[in-house]
Amino acid sequence: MMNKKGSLVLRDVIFMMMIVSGIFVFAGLFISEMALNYENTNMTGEWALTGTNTLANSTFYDTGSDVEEVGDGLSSETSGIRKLIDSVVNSLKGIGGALFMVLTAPNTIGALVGGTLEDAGVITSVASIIKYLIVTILWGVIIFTVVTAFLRGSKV
Amino acid sequence: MVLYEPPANVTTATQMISWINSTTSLWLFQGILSAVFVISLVIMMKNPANTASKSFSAAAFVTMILSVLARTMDLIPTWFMSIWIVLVGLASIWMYVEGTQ
Repeated sequence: MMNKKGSLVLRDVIFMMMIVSGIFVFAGLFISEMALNYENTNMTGEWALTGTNTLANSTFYDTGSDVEEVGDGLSSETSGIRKLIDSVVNSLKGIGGALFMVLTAPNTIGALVGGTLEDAGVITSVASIIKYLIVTILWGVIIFTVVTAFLRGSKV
Repeated sequence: MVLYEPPANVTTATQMISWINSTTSLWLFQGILSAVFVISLVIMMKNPANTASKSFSAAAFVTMILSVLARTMDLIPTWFMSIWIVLVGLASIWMYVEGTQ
């Protein structure tokens, strides 16, 4: 939810990315399952194996591999200072990867919307324009919010 | 001038609807789903407890589920189903921005 001043901040964009990605991913799973159960090859050909699902899968795969790295780092043997440093470094790497994905949320939203539009049969050039428009607007809003926050000393 | 092929061997209501749908390039069920969306939106907006964003997302969600079922039966094209999924996503953003409880 936006704050009382009505301004959109970075965490709002991240929440929106999570909600929209979640809806697209679950819709993709729903369609894949329906297509598989009822052997509808048109659906699998046009939707389930293209754009949105690929994007959703790669996003989830990246997150999964990051979390796995963190797990490996934490579960590694901690006997000796070298091992401890290794495990801390691995954990930080994993967390950094996940944080980077969250920070590039506007790009992910743009890619998801662009992929969905291409799935829907929109011309690639139009889908790209809409995609980059969304990415530009979201980054513009975020940069403006951060700059304003620094200038006024309020929350980011 | 023949605008469409006349029905052949149509004896049941199912065959009739199937013929209408194929003759109108799947627009019969696209129209039905759009009507379902509008009617459910209007009915939900009549309740003063519902905000516009809440009604819109609920109506879009119902239509999205129905559109996936209709797509499974090859009654509508894939792009029409995709539109409802995108609309549900946009409606969720609207609800979030509005702060719907």
